[in-house]
Amino acid sequence: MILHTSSPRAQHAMLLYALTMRLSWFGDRSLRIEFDGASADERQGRVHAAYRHLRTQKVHALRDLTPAYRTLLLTFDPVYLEFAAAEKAVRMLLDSERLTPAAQAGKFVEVPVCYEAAHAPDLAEVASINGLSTDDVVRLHTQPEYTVCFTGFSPGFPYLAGLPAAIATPRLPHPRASVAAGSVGIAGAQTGIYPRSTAGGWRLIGRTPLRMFDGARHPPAMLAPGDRVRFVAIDSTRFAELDPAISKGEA
Amino acid sequence: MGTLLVHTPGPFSSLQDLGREGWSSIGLPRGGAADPFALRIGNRLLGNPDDAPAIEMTSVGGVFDFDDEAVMVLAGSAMGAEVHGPDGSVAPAQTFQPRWVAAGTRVMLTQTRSGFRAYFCIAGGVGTRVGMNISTGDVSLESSDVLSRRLCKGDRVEFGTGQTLPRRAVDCGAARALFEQYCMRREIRAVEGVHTEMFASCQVEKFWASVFGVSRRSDRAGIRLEGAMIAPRSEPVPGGAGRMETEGMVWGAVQVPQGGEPIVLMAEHPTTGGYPVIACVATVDFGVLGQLGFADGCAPIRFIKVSKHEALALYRERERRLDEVFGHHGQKFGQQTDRQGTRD
Repeated sequence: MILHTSSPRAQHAMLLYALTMRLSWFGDRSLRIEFDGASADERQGRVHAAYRHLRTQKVHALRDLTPAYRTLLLTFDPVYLEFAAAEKAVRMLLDSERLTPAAQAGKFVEVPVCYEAAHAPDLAEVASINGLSTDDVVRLHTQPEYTVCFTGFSPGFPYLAGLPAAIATPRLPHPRASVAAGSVGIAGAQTGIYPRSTAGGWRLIGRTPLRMFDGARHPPAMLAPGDRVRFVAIDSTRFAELDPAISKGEA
Repeated sequence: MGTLLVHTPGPFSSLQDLGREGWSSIGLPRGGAADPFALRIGNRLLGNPDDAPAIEMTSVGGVFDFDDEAVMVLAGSAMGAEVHGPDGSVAPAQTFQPRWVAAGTRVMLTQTRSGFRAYFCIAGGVGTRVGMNISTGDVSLESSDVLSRRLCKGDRVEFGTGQTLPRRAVDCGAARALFEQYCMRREIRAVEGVHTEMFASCQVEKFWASVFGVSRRSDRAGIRLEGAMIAPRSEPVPGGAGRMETEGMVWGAVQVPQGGEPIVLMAEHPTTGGYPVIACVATVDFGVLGQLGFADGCAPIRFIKVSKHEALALYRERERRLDEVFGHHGQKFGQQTDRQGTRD
């Protein structure tokens, strides 16, 4: 490929990129890209940079992109897919200095969360397991800027990285049969938001009135991989004002 | 255009099209018909676009009342079917045989005799596309309807809202032969999985040599296999952390949890997963997965290893044969939200 990089530093970054990527075929129509990196953050950054870049490019017959912790899966139309050509196109597009993760950051979203007991069935337990007060847990949970690693489990469910170690808590020993839509939970070192009512084993410390996923909306999910999130504490009055179901009298 | 009244939905009936691709990054799998090939055959028999929605019925069909005349066809598994005309006439309905029905007709379906899923297709489609969902025509959809709009007793479903092409005279026997050849196999073609290093080689050999039954705990998200246990390695893998990190999954992926009973992912699979993948079913055989039931007398299945090149060639040969029988139809039912059409 043509080296259209200017600085030696950018060229060096590009070379490193080429060395840190492994391609393999998952089935007969999906290309799996696995990224290396010194840390989970570095690998995740590479996945997001590649995901954001490929989304904006015209890649022949590409139909879907699935980012995860260290892999990005590209799914192609089986009528038009050529294995070798697809691999070559992906290598060309990703061996570029445009892929510096910092230049490809996602959008920033503030998510209002009510941490009052009615919406936070496990908050007291998370506090006591970690030897903290519930106020401490809320303060620590609203402090960081989280990154959406990827979305999975159920449509629109964001896996957020960046939880303070002081409030990391294991999953419930027995998952709940039903979790209220909008519930904000902790599982190990991760935090996330249940977009709809499903079964679930994360410890619930609050609830957002925002509709995280709506199939009739475009785009349907509020958060995309690579987006940055901060939680903002609200009281139950504000929660009710923001809750579309309550304001429409459906709840 | 008319309205179909769901008198009885059957044990699991839902509105399905060919799903949508391009949304897995927000946790949405492709979804759509569990046997996309059978749905496409049904649609082509009626002159519908390939992706027109229909009612997917599972194992046992429902009872449906037409308030207007229509042209309909049943495609897929062979369910018993009776057409009760408004004049009191009763006639059997043959699968893959399109027929005109008068306003006031009731169609009654019963237990499948072979296969697992049948598609109740109507010229112009069944249901309406709203965003990425299929709605009955009433646009207030629940977020839980994103993957499947499951039909309930008393639902009223719009039909015939979409365009149809002039129908070619089609040999219904040829349609049935295509379905039987491509969807009723017991030997499923698959390519080697992406995590075979997470299994001892004898376990990989065992997978390809074993016969499997289909568990009752299977659904549209995945088929749970039983009858042979495949053990993933428990010790750390060289170069890995010992435990697999969650990564993107695809329709057809054969995951093996620690318990040893493989799961084949289907239309509504979780978009990510953390179990090692020992094999991946060829796209050409997705229809076979959709017809795998747990009915009594269901013959066991096994997997046949093919290369990715062979798998793709088989898929393209099938597409050629479909176009030979019906002519090319394309996919443009109503409003399309994804970037391109979706294929099975």
